[in-house]
Amino acid sequence: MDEAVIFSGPGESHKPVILLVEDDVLVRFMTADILREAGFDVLEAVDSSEALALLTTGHPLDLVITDIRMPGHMDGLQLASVIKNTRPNLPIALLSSHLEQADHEADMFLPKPYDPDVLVEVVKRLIGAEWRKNLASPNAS
Amino acid sequence: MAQELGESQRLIVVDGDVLVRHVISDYLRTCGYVVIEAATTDEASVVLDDSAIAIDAALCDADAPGSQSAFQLRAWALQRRPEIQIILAGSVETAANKAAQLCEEGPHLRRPYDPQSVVEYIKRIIGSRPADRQSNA
Repeated sequence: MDEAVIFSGPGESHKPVILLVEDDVLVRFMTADILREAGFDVLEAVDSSEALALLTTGHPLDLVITDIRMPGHMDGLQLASVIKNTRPNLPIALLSSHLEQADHEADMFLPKPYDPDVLVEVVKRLIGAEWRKNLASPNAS
Repeated sequence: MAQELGESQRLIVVDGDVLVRHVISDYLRTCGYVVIEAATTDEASVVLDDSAIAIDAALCDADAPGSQSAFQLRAWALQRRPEIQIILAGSVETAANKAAQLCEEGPHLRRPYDPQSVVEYIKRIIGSRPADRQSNA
């Protein structure tokens, strides 16, 4: 996996960063834990408002993983659309226990429940693609 | 709360502001804790109500949103999970200092950075947040 230097606050991190948007606290914790164990930094958001708050800080991000069905003013599909408009090179993976993959702007759809190994493989693949795009066009995203 | 190097302890951080919650949680992870993030007292209740989830301490914003107040959450948790240390913080400064204390007492995986830098960082990112963050995203 490619590595990049990123900063996540007062402590420095040298890991790819994933924004995880999930409204179920236990699912969010378990998913984040799997990703951290696999070597990623994870920003956790409970809904699209929190996700957008994190996005607007300019925090470096390599991937967004979002649940589709969430409370609040925007579901995961709408969030994916907003992100694709503002940061078109930022890959997005959708997670859902429902078969809603028909019309979306995400790069990947993962049905729940997912195998942790499959999740990590998907993340590695998407993050790798993002690095290749950044290398080709450093100002993109 | 002293712990051998390499052993992880689990904390829950409860704060309704994602920027504060993330930075405090990240700080605690830096010194070796496993951290569960909860955005509301309701999310914290779900975690604390599950006795299968081992929790050593909870660091909770005194103004955390939810159907019960942080003080009600603490009273409820003290009855249900008396082994869990419930720490209430009334400000970002207090939260950072309490997190630093936990790091002093905890796993010591890495030397934590100065809690004042955590406070300054939180204030900086909150200050840079657009007034209407949703329309600017």
